[in-house]
Amino acid sequence: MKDLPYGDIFYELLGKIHAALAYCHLRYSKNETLSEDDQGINEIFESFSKISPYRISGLNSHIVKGLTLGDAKRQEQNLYPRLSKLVIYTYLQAQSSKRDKKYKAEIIPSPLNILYHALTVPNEPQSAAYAYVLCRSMLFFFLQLHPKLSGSNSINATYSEFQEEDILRSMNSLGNYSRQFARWPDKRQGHEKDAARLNYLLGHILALKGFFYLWFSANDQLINFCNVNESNLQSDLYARYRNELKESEKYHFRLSGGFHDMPDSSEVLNWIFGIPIPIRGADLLFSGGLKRSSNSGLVVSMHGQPGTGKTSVALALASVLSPFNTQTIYITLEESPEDLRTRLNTLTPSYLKRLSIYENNYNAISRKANDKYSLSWFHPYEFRGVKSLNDLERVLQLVSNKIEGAVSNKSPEEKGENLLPAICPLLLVVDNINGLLSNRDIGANSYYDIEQFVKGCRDIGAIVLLISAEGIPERYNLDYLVDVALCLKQEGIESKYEKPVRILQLTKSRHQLSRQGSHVFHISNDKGLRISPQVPSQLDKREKLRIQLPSKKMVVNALNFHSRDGESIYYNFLNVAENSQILIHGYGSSGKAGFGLKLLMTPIFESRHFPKSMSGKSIKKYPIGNRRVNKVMILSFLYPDEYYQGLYDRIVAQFDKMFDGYDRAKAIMVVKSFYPGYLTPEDFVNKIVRMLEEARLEGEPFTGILIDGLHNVFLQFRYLQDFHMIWPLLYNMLSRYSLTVVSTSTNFTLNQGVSAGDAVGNAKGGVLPEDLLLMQQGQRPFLHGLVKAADYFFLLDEESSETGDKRYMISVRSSIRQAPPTDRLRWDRSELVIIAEEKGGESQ
Amino acid sequence: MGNEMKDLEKVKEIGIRVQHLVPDSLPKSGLKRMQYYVSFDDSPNIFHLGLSKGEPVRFEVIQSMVRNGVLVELTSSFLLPFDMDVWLSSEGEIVIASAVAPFSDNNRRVVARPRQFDRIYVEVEEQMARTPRPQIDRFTKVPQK
Repeated sequence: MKDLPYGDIFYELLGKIHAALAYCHLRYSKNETLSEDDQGINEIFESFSKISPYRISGLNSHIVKGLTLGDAKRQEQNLYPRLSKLVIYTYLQAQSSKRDKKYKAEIIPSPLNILYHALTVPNEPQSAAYAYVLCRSMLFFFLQLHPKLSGSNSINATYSEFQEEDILRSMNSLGNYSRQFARWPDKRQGHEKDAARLNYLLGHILALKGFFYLWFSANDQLINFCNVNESNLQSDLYARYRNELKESEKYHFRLSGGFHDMPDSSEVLNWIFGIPIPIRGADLLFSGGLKRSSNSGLVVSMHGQPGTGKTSVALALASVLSPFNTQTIYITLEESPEDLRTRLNTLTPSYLKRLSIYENNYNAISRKANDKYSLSWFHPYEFRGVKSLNDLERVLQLVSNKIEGAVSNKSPEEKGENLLPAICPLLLVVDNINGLLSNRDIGANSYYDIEQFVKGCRDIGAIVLLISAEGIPERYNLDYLVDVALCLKQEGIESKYEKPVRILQLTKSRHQLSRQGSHVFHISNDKGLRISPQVPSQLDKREKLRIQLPSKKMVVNALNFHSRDGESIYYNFLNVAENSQILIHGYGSSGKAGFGLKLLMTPIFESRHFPKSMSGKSIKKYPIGNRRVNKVMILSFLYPDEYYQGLYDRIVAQFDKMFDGYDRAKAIMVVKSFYPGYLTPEDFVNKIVRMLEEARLEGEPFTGILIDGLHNVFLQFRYLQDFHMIWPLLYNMLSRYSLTVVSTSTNFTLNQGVSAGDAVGNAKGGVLPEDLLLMQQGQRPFLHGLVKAADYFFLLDEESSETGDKRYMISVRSSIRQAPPTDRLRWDRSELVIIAEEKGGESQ
Repeated sequence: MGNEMKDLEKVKEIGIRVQHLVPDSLPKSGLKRMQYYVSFDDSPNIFHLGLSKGEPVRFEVIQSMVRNGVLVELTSSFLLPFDMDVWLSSEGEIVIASAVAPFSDNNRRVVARPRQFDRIYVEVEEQMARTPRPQIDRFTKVPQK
């Protein structure tokens, strides 16, 4: 009998998070600032004793991160505990969703939500599945509820069973409340005891996913909820999550500020009843989880041509499911078990090997000396004698009968322990049934035989993965009979100039909502199997996220800080709102990247900090206070990392002079450069979104993003150019994160003749109409930016003076909330400053 | 119907039919006694394990056992003389011969030869014996503080 993933640290970690939230709340309600270098909150996590084995073994570094250092060293290296950062960030986000100061009630994020994020490896968001299974199972245990089980499985009699209808009823009652920002469930609902518990289960699951905050009518209640007794953790937490508190101490749920609507009810059903698949992108594909049929069996067929990665996908699935205590029986009709074991090792993502939940014999905690190379959860068998489908069915039955003997069938009562049904005890892979289907004599009963075979597979009560080749006669097509049908393809292998792309097509999923269609996937290198879902479905997932409008309060003063003789002065030119989308357009190398980066790196102040009366005053060692982090992501289509590093150093040095207490560690720049070639739109969007979410999970979200050189997509990024709709989708998606987006673009001119070229087709000045057409296509990203991402539109012009010097002038073409100033500013691209003009400054 | 025990005299009169055998691993040499279900010609839908006096089994149950691989169904039934038993040879042949001394029985004859499936049964047995059986836990522990 095994533990749930991370079950060993659950109670203690949750207790710590409760304590940290209480601490945050006490500081916040006294109007004190919260930051990650706060000693108090770090002390709470430093006393986290259960993780000490991880500190030594180097496992689970995502939890331990920042805790191993002493306090002095921490300040020196600027590495603060990830747990503290997460708690503070999530707590402050919840507080910012209070509408105004008059809002009397108290709201906090669910501690389970923080735990869920804390146990997720930041750069591998799919690992959230393990944390989610833990949280969900613990909620089932706390509330003594469990989805209805079928067949011989039984659960402790103290549990009440529920079905999908019950959840839908609960969702219905919730729908009315959530729209009005009201609390839920209220007293009128759930007179029956089970219904009330079910409401709380649903509420907690949604709070865990971030859709809900916990709502308390007064401060005392909140503190009471957060204060748990260390010596009595289990029963204290049990009472809190069951909401078995005094009537006056009960809490409710409220829609969180980050979302504008509830998730689809079918997605919620997948969350509650499904198996979350820990493969990157699979969460999107199956809308939160893979649901099984009513007898807990599921038959999945996967077909594809040779070399498309069928076996690899199956092996990768086996390895990522193993932390759920899933045993894999791999029946192969062609490969040797030894080869499969070797392949399995290379297909296991390297991050998984460094987690305590993955049972690997090289893993320091669960090392077994004797059997070094075999994994205890992987059982390959080779049957070469199978000649027909009937034979195979018998083999499966025989194998499953053999296993039945080994199943610990004792009921939970007999064991005298608190047990929950395992989420997916058995995965059965059959690789592959090509020969059995295509060689058959076509007879009247053939289809019936296949039907019987699939039914037999479903009755085993496991996930059965049937692998077959393409080219099976249509009438034997398994896809009609199985529950989930996948098709793997490889595109671009015919041409030697193209990079082959692997495609995974989800064509059918019988029991659930899913995102069908073609998705790109990769299996090479140590990251293991990963799927980049199609672009529209990536947006789909974020549809419920609230669009973040440009801030009214916070201001980027980049255009207001001018330089005169090496000295900075303030001159009220244009306030750029935070969270806005900015487009910078110019001709040639006018220093757009530097200007964009400076915009994003400028410390953000509230607009009241620099009143108009400040205009013309010099800024030197201006007190900066406890400012927020500026964390900028740069998407470069042109320059490598080093180029931006140079810009960064110069910009930061300027601010260092201008502000007192400026901390370089709070200005972070991450460069992601793409090299020309065959980057697919799916991968492109997926990479950006992944980085954004990874930063959130680190507790340090990005504040800005610089898309440098939209024009470089022209000709060099073939797929991005063809699929130009990527840009509006991307801008829409970025607007759902709190980000200031800066895009830069350049126009092309072949020569003077271009603009005068006539549309009918007469070439002028050596320019062909084809060239013109091509140029127009190249303009698409820029035009998309203009339509979608131009809250502010800056133009950088090049001017030549009489002496032949070149000058760059910034003019504002459009701006929100403010009429665009008619003046132009001079941009010094080598110094990265705006030069104060003679007429400006004090006279204004 | 059929609940009453067949008495010996009656059994000798009516024919005993065998079509369903309990699969078993092959003996290394010699003969191995097999378990089988019998039916009687007067009530073909009622089955008994061997000539036991135990609970009668309905045809539907037999069918489900066949589906689950617990039983093997021969393509046709054969008549089993009262003093004979069913044996399995090392080649996988099913033999009827004297219940007491099968080797010296002159009436010994093969009633069925192994089909593909029988070989697979052996193969599965061998494979499972060679590699450790998976221990499947249908439950997980809820962590205790």
